[in-house]
Amino acid sequence: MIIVMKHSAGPAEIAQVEADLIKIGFAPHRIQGVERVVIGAVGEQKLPFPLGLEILPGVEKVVPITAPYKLVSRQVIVEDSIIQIDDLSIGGADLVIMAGPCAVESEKQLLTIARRVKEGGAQVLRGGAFKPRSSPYSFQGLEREGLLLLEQARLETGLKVVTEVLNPQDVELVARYADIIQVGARNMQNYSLLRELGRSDKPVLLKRGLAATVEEWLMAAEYILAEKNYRVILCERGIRTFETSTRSTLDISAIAQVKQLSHLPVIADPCHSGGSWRLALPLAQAAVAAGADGLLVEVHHSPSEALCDGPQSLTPENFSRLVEGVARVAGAVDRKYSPVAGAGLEKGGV
Amino acid sequence: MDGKLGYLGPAGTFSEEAALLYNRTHNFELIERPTVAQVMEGVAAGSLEQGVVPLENSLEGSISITLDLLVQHSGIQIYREIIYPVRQCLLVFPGTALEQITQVISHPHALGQCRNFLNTTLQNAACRLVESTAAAAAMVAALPGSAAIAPRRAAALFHLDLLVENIQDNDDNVTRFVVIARQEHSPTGHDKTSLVLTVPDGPGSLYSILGFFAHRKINLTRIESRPARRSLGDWFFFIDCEGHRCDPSMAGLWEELAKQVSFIKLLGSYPCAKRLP
Repeated sequence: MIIVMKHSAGPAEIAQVEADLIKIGFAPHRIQGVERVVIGAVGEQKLPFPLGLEILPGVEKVVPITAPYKLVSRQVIVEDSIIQIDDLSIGGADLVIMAGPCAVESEKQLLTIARRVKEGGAQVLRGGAFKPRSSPYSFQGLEREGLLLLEQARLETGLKVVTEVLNPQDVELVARYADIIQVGARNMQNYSLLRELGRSDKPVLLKRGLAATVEEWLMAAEYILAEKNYRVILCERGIRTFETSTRSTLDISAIAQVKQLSHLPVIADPCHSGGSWRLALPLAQAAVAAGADGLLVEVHHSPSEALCDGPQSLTPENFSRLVEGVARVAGAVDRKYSPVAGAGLEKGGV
Repeated sequence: MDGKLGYLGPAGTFSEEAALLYNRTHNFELIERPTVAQVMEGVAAGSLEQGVVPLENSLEGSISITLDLLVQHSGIQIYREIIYPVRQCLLVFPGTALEQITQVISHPHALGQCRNFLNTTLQNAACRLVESTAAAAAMVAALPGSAAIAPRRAAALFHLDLLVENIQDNDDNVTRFVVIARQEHSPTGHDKTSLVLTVPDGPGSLYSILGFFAHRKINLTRIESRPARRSLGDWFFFIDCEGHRCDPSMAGLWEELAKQVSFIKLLGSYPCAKRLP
């Protein structure tokens, strides 16, 4: 449920409500709105309604939340959540483009791609150091060494870094290097991992599981918010359907739906879902038209040599075309796209 | 077993002693490599898990090859530092007396650390440079009338007489070794960070770079310049500062620095070594 406080409610009254909530077994989450404070109360409902909270001083009304997810729901937080990472905002009017290789392979590969995607207009560099692969015999990533290379690319290009974490014990390590921590589709319901990320101070990019419903996806996000990390970005990456002509089906309707059900930013991955670079541009345009706040794109300077997911990676040239094509759609749906000033900045290196 | 730990060989060098010291708290298989470059390449390529190489000596200064390779190699970091006291000894072919010595053989750094002893006690002996103290000891084993400057342990290894102990110019003579690895050490609360950067040409540019550390009250423990090996007047600055790269006190520092300099590379954050007695 949420407790809507009166405009006039002071800090003492708010604290009193929070203390009473804790007493009856709820965890209070204070949400500072533009005009008033709302307290989200989550926990197992043990006592029957009404709980008598309405009569406390400063309380305007108590609203039960009907959805199973609470803190991610728009019923609790009405305004769009904007996730701020230094000067980068995710979830506002500006589209955010995250691009890079599926896996970090070497310093040369990563820096080459990082410079190219920055020139092409990306604000965030993606790159897997820990890779969850369908086969245990596939390349598993450079792991810790990959994190060091991402750090170097971050310093050299000024791009923010998003990279995946596979298990709870690596969260602290990955958080030291990443600006955004990614949870892959296969780990969407790894609840101990989600709880650990909820205790991190880094934003989390939560990919939708390949056979997860929208409600399951939002419940997974709820795990992170319940631990008081409110900075979650949802990522639609395609679901498994009866259709076999594409790798998976990018669920455009889920993007529009989740934007209504939740205040969290939603981005789309047009590369994994189509499974082919040829589909990336139209899928990216469709996602933005449906309300996506950004894109997660795979780019490799030499897709034929990529150790992971080559066929669905864009070349830097195709990436630039994708960004141009997406920018045109963005204008049509009242979104802005303004890549970081100084893109393509020349720097000496070794 | 923790895998393979490479060190600058051959056996009987201070690098081996430092590696043995490090391995007291680990369980590595020690692997000797003939050059610093081969230790670094082994770690970078994954054939060695970690490697021990010398970085600087309190009397003779930096080991330039180590600094240069740390800049060149990607994906490897300084993982630990080891401060090792260096006690140089004069080792001779069995039966040789001090006045019979006509040449002294050693690594250039070892000869440099014993400059006063050589000038006063062996002023007539010729100096001969070799790639390591252990190599010097091995040569002396077949050369009557010659002496090696080497660690005490080399006397037993190569069956030499230990003629004079502690001949280094200063009893505080220490060498700082670093352990390199393909990962970074976690913060311990008492750490150091090493980095290298190039400053743009212009008045006060180094001053303004150092200002980023000063404003945050971050103590610098070392700053040194090395040619960037591109053109004359083009320098790398190697900086060591107190604190781990991801300590809250350093938040935003690296991004700010990266905007000001033409090149920056973090060489690693690692626990500060305790000095051995």
